[in-house]
Amino acid sequence: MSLSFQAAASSVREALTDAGQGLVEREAMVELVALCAVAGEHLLVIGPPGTAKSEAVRRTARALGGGCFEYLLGRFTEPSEIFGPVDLRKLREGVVETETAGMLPEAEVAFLDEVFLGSTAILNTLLGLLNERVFRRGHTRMHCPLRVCVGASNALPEDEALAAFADRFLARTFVESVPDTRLEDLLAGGASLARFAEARTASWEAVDVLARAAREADLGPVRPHLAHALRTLRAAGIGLSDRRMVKAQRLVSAAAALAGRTTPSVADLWTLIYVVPSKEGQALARDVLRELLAHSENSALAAAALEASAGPLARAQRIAQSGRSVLAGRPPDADSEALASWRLKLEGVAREMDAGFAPESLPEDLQTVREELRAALAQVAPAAAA
Amino acid sequence: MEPRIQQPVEWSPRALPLQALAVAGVGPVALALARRVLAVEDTALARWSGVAGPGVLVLLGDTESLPWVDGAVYLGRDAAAPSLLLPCTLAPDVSPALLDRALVARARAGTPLAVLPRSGQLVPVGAARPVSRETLGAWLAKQEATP
Repeated sequence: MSLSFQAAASSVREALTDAGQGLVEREAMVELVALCAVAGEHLLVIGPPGTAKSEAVRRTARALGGGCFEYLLGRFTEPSEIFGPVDLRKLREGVVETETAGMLPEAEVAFLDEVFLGSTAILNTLLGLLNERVFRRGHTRMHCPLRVCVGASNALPEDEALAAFADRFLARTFVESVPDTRLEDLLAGGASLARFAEARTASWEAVDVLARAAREADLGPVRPHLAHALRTLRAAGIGLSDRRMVKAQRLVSAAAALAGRTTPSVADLWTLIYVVPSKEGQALARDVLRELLAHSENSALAAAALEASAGPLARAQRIAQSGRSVLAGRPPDADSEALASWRLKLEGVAREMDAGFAPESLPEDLQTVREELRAALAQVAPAAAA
Repeated sequence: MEPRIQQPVEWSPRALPLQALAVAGVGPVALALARRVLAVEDTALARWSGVAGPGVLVLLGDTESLPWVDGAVYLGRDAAAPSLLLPCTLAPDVSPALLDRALVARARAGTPLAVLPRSGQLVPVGAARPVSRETLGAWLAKQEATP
């Protein structure tokens, strides 16, 4: 029995929610890996060492169907470490073939840390694999099941040849170390990593269903808005290459599919932010596209949509989810310490709402959650002063 | 009497809110805010500084530490108006830079100025001091005694 479109979208959404649990400030990255997998594009992550990039990719791969080839590249990494060793038995027959079992050419998800440190031999072979999903080396020619490759680096390359290679990663995201305000979450998240084995998972079949829906999506209605956005970016000095502009449509379609919609709309144009190749460019793009980004919405990719647009609907959705989560976690009345801590969390969500939305522009969904928060806060008194 | 904002300025919701650096209450909300603040332990009080006047209370602190009561207004800083603390969720219909210069010129006390559009108040917060339980308690008692 084939998987229906809505069932596929639902299973992927649930899997992504679980994959993001315990990760702090990386929820968007988990979602972007999935977005790129559905779109058939690659993701480049720029950020300092030790920022849980590999963990986010590993989890996403597991959530979507399992299997992730990951490797830390260095100046002296040999091609055999990435693609597999030469098959010695065939070499004796005069045939140069690569034994690819368990290596990158057979992976569906790949994570290459310090990707720009790879040698020319590695990067040239990678280029074909990324572009055409074909592995060529010696006599070996094989079609690869690679859905998404995530490259990571501390910084964007300055070398022209490497910059050209970097351009093959359509989506870019820039991560920072966890801010002070979320250190408690980071510590709690680290402690909960061991429980990840119980997370729900989707399947590559579900991803295939969504990818097909994305490819078949009718981009006609949204294309004028996309063109307008691209012109706006150009006017602001953000020039995307022709290839990036055309391929951006894949992310737009994939975002719609993941949200359970078959027709992309302006709600999906937030993905354009991730196509802008530099951090400064992305910040400027958020500013000049502000009005358009106000329509951003995606229930499956809430964190990525929020990060891209910081738009009201995306922000509202995330705060509403957070509010419901805190409300659902009410501790027993007998536990006064836990109750006081819970109340502080409720107050934090309420503050975020009132500091983020004027009363007259409070989205309906958020208004409902706000009323529940207000009632809960009125019911539980603040901790008594010493 | 605190100087008031000139009427012609109109405010509309911001698409992207400012980061909250202060919280203000007016009238009954100020009283509720004071009660909320007084409910915490002394160590928590140290996270805030503030100013209080007739019917108004403004607290400053890190975003994550600011308390919540229903009706409180959160204030942040717009880079174009560095002398003002503006409502996080509202933007003026005039240039923030112009508003900054106009309000600073009219204020009798130092900056920054907390701008409270709904009540039309400007509250100088340059003299904000660490919150004292005794001082705030006395202010609250006086406000409650005043009809």
